[in-house]
Amino acid sequence: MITSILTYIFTAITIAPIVYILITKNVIRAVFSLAFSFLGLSGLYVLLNAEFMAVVQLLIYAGGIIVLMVFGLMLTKTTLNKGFITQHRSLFFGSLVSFLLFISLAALAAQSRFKVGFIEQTGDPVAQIGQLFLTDFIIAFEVVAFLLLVALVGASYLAKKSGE
Amino acid sequence: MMEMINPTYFVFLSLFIFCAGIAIVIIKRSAIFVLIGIELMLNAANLNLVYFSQFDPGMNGVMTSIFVVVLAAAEVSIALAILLNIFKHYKITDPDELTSLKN
Amino acid sequence: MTLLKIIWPLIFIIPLFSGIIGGLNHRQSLKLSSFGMAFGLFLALILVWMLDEPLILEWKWLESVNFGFSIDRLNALLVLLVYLITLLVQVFSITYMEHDPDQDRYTAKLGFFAFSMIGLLMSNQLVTLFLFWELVGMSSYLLIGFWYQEAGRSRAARQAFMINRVADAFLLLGVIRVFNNGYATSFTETLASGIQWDGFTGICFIIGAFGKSAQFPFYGWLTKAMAGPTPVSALIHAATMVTAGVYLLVRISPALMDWNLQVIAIGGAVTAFMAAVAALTQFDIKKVLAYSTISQLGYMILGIGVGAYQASVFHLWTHAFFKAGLFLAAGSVIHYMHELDATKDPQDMRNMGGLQKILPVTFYAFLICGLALSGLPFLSGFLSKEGILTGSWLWGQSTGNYLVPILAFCTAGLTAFYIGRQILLVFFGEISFAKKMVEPLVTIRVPLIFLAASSLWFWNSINPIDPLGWFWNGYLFADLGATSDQHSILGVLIGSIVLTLSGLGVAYWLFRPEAETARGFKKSNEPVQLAGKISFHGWYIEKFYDQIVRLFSKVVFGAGWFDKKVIDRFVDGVGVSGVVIAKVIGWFDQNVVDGLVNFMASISQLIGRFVTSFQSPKIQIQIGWLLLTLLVLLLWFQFLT
Repeated sequence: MITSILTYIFTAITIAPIVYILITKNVIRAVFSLAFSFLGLSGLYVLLNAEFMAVVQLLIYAGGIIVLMVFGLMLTKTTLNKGFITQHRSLFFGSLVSFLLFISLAALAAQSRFKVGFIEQTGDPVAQIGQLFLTDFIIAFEVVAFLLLVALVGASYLAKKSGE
Repeated sequence: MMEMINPTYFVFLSLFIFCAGIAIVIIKRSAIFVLIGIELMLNAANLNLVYFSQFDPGMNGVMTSIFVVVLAAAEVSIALAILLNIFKHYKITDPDELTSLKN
Repeated sequence: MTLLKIIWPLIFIIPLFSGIIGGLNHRQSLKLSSFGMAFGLFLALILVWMLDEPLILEWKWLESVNFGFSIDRLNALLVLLVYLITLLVQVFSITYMEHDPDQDRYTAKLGFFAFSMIGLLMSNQLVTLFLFWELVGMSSYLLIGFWYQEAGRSRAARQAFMINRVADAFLLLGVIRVFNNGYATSFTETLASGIQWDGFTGICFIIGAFGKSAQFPFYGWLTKAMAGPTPVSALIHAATMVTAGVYLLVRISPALMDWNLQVIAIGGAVTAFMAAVAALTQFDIKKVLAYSTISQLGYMILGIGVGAYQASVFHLWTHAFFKAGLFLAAGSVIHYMHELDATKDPQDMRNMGGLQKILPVTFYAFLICGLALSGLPFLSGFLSKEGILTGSWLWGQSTGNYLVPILAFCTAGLTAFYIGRQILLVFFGEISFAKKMVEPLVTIRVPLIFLAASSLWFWNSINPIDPLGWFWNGYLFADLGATSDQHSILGVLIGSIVLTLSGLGVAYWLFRPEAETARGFKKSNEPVQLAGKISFHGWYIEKFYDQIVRLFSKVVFGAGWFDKKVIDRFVDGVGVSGVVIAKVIGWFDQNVVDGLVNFMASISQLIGRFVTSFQSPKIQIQIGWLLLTLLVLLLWFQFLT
């Protein structure tokens, strides 16, 4: 019962900003509503027994990425007040595509019968995640680490290049 | 400890977020908006993964989801770096105007 | 015999070589050539001396046509004549042409002429004869038009050649008819077989002979031919080429029908008379002599027609000598007149007079040859003319046609008159100019003296009044089978002597130096009375030719006009319509056919544009399409598989 209500609340917190993003032409408002949407998502993660994920979401997405985006926005602002306003284009086409996709995949999903069964969680999920990192997912772990390094180097290089 | 939420509902939800992301990517004329759309799509995928990872003792979904987050973060940073460069160069953020590769 | 076999071809080609050698060398051309001709003359003498049986050389040219030469006594004698006269003319020309820059061309042409003439005389087959006939005609043209730089002379040469060609066309027709009808085609065969040709063939040959020998109506060219140098006139148009017709008729006379011979006789007589009349009033020395030649040729032809061909050949022989002598003497006079005053016409007798004292050798030569022409006894001309007159009288008696003898006799009287007139006007009278020139050299005097002397009687016959006593008679005609039994008729003899003397007497009375006519002659103009006009213009034959030519020109121009206007228009029309059709087809091809193809292309272009319109430069739209495609694939696999 409470789960459903919370689900619906968090869903609403997730969906509404998204709708707003769809409609608005103001970039900065879109970014902040995205932040809200992330919050909602985070709540949903909690409801799904993935607390670690929720925190990661908050930390990285809502914290890092949003900040990055805001920085990017501020730095690419063209004019003083109206700098955040953009335009729409091909409203019909985009809506059509996404709508069609939604419809078809939804139809697909509606037809499917999910055979899922609860599994009792024992132990510390975080610890489990950490263990999994170093056992089942070790290669992915290493690769991602490497990738992060590359991204770091690349980003700093790109940022430096602009100084020439 | 919680009840299982209807999977169809979650699938619909993530589907909705995903399609919204697509719509944003196609419709908006700003590069930042495109990034937003991409993030939304990734998040939709994350949502799906996490939901179905409830039922998995190996927690594959969550792990994948973590990796997705990491990748998204890296990607956003690079993208923004590029965007900043482009902006410095062309003073434009509208991808439509970036036509030097056209024709 | 073998000597003759060697000499014969040599004789044939010596003139050609002399001509070529002379033509190559500029300075000494005539002298060199004269040496060659002298050698040839020597060989010809040997040939005449030694020839007994006829020699024949023949080879096959085409399928049924042979090329053939033969030499018998008649030929050999005439060849000798050609060599002799040619040699004399060449020697004469050494002086006459000394100021001319084209002596090499002259010598070459003379050599070529001698070669063609000898070839003609030696031909046996009709085809060969025709070939050399044409060659002789061409040589004549080349020589008449020797001074071609003057337009009048080259025109005269062309006219002479053309008139000759018309007659030659008939000759060719005759030759073709002989081949067609299967007659014998060589003279020896014709003689041996005794076949008679049909009348039309005979007429064709007669016309050909008339053309070459300047008989009516073809005599218009001979007066024009006087445009050539005088030695050329002496050689070709007095002694040799014009006698080719006579020679031809002699050769084919056995094959001619009786009425052909009648035509020949009448034609010859009429020509002789007409030409003598024409010679009466001429002003130009050479024209008088030209008409005289025509007249004497008429005698020869007449002789053949009446059957007295022995007399004809005899007259041919004597005429060659005295006519050549007359021409060369006239040449000497002209040369002198030209040296004297180059502005006046040197050939106009009105400018002459009293040349007797200045050019004595020329005077005596002219006198002797002229009297021989008139037929005075003790001269050669008398003997030969006597023969012809006798023959014509006998013929007239036997056939009852007295026109021919009457014309012949009248002509004799006229001949005496005109030549007397000429002698008196040129050589007697007062000298109207002062310059005295020594009569030139050996090269002029010797030929003149020789020719004059040979016009005396004793070279030809011991008896001054008997034509049958001709030396060569037995030589020539013993094997030719003399058919007519000729004997001198006293009446004819006396008649001709009387006519000659009276002709000369009238001339003397009219033109003696003190007479009015003589004095008035210098200032006289063309005659105005009808008779005089007819005489002066040569019976208007030349004008007649001009009219014919004009008529032809009109026809030709008319045809040309027709061709240009009608036919060319038609051809152009066809061409234009072709172009129009091509243009229509082109338009069709361009617009319709290509239009169809272009339409197809534009359809594909349309489709292409339509399809590419989906592709957008905008990245996001591309993403959209990508997703749409993904969706389609998804649905495909979902619902169809």
